[in-house]
Amino acid sequence: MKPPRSRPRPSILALLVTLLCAATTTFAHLVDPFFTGAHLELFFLTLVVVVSALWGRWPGILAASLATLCYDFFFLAPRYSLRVSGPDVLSLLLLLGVAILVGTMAARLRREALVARQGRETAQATSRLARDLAGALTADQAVDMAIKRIRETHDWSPIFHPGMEPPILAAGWDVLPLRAPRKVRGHLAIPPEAITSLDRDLLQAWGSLLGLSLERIHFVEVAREALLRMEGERLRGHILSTLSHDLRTPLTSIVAQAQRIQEGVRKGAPPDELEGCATGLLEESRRMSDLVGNLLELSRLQSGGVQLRQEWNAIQELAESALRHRRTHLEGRPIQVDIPDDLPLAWCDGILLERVLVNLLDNAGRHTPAGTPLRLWARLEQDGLSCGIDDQGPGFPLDSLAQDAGRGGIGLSLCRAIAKAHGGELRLESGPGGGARVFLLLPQQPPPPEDPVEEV
Amino acid sequence: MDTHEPGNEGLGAPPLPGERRTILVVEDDKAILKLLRDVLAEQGHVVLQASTARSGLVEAGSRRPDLAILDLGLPDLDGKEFLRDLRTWSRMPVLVLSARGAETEKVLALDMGADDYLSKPFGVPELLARIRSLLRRHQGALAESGPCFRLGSVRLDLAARTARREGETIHLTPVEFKLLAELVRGEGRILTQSHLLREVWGPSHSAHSHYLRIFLARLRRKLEIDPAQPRHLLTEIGVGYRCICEREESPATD
Repeated sequence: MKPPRSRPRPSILALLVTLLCAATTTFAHLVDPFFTGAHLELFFLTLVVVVSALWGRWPGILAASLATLCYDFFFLAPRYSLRVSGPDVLSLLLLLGVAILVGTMAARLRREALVARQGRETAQATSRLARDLAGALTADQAVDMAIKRIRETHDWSPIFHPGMEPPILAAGWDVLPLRAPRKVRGHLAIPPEAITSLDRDLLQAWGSLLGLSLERIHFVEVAREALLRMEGERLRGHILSTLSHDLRTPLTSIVAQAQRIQEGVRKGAPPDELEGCATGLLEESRRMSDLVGNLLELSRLQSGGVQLRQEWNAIQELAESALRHRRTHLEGRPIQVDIPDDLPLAWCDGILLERVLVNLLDNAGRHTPAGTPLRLWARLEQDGLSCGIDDQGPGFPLDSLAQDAGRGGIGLSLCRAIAKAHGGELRLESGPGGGARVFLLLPQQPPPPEDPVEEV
Repeated sequence: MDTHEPGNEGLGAPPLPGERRTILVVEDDKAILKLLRDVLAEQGHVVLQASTARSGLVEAGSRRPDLAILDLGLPDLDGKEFLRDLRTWSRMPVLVLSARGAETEKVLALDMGADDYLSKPFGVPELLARIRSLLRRHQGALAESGPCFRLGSVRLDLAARTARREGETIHLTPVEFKLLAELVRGEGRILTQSHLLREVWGPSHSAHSHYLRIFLARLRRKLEIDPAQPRHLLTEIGVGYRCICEREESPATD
């Protein structure tokens, strides 16, 4: 801690005490003729108390000695001589004794007040530091906070060195290890100018506070990583199981159809039968190709190596493109596009969002009877944009809605991953007509771009 | 490098003399190369093949094909290098093949001078349609005939700066017209966002892709029967726009 009030240097202090003593003597001398027989020694006693209270013990003793001398010299008969007559020796000794006693007590009071104040300030600073550190989310943040607090209270800054080994420092520097229960979490290097004002105990306490909080942050990070890894593994397991199902089905069919064509050609089967097989083969191959595409996209997204290429996109255009890509799949279905003309542009990765729509269309197409209508809609929500598909199929079984596992497989997993990458989410609900509603909720968008320069 | 002469394998109808073209295929994947060779030969085209970009450039220089099909994932040179080299001395139409999802690659290739792209896996009818359109347009561009186009029931006269549906004038603002003209001149070719922005608004606006969203929406509302499912002004998400239209040779007077 900084000393609360700096005491003058000893030589100046001695001079001050002497001057005060002279002043008191002069004052007593001036007052003396008016109050004959007054106890002038009380003036000197007051001086000693004041000096002790202000500056502590040794200035008090100095004041007491000087006061006794002055009193003897100027006021005790014979005046202007240090000689003392019999009975006055006693009162002089008493004066000195009482002065020293009172001065010592005043000095002790002063010291105790000082210590109490210092203690209070220390406790306050420590609790502030503890509170700051409790809120720190990263190790860097914690270290910065501690260094800031030390600078505020001590006028110098320590330097943080991570690692368990104490750093090698220039001469004059001191080192404070940050001990935590498990291990040393780093060191603070204390600059040479700090050593004189060093309150070792306090710094040690702060050091262990910082150490503890570094350890806490370390373990929070460890726990989070473990959780992420677990989550990743769970997801991978889920994907693998859906994948083997999703991939095997079309593959089985492809192999079978190809064999039938081969067989049919050899046996001279009628052309329409062959064409039927070829159509089936084509369809399954396309499905397979979509699946592999989705899968690649999903693994790219989940490996975390994908940077979203966000720009301003019109949901209308994403819908248009998705519908065009799925025209053959959705043959014979009435499709209603319900997107307001004045829907604001969406800040998103257009290619990925189009994939979401394509997958939602596929999904709806696969799970509803042929010929039932679909509705592709988008609207402005209070907290973003939503966009999705309503169908008129059987809807979701309640239990699958609850688990949000639902129908789907790779396609919906990809949609979910894309939604998440945009900070949004994929929602499954029961639609207005009893069918399913699957939609993407894009979170709060950045402010819309400025309008195009309009022509004159 | 071998040449596959078509005709004697009994595949399809014999080609009309005017439609027989020389097409260079630069592709290193054997299966796709075979597919392209067979399909193109069946159509009566002469197919030149190269499995590296360097040999492709040599073929293109020495045999002067009418069109090149270029795979972007070649072993020796980047497809973009190929395009950069080719474009210094030839304007032959180039159709780029690339994997789905590699939109950045596509945009780069288009900006480097490719005329169109096709994502793998692609369907044969789509491939043939693109090739036909590229060849036709290339010829048309050389002829540079009367600048009239038809988008469904809408007739667009670039010289007179008018757009009419069944005789009725559709009002277009100058910027709308400029953008539409640029799209229409592409005649089914994909035009990248940065290209359109540069041509219509100038180079300083090449990052303002939202201009395109807003103006394309306006154009669709004015020109398309169903703006939600347009048939002429199509979006290629992440790449650009494509206008499906027909060139009208004789500017009718109405």
